[in-house]
Amino acid sequence: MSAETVVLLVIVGVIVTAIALHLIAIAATLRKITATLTNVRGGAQAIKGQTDPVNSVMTAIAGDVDAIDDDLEGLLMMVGEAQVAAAAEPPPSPPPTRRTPPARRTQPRPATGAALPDADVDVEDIVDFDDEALASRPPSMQEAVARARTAV
Amino acid sequence: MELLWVANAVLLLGVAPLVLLFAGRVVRRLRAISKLADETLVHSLGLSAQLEAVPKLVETKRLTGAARQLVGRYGTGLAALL
Repeated sequence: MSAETVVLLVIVGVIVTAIALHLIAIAATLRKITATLTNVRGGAQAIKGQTDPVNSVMTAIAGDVDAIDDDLEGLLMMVGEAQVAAAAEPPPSPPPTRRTPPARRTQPRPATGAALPDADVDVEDIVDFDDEALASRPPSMQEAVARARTAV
Repeated sequence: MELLWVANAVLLLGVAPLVLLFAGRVVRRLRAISKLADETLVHSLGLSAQLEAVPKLVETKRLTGAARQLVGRYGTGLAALL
């Protein structure tokens, strides 16, 4: 085997070795990238699972907040009308001055009638706070405002 | 004989540097992609951590629904007072 052939074989061997080393590095890097992208895919799926209900929940919350806003505006109007009505009423007359009665010439007779009934009044006897119908279906603000206007 | 030496010289001075150059470019690009994938993984983990409060939205939805009903009852009570 001549020297030229040996040199040629050596050079070809070096080139093949370099290519093989680079291919090994490329394969290792690709394997690492595959593992990382697999993790990224799992994370993206988890994020999708976490954010799936956001749309419907946010829509419902926005609807509820809109309704609360409307109701509170109705309340504000109702309270404002009550304030205007209270301001339009004439001021209450001053309480009459109590004049001292003239001195009795005779002693008052002792009371012979029955005593007055007990003045203790239980508010719960008048107002039914446990109204099931009221608790189960709260009226809307329009109904409440209409009731207030009819009461005024 | 002389042709073999010329071929050797071409292989050594022409082909081998080109092979090394192109292979190095490929490896460099792949390492950049790997680095980007690692950063993407880190940021996706951070994003997932930011979304831990999302289930609380369901509780917020329940509370706003209850507040809506309670405002109605409050209005009814206020109308009765006025």
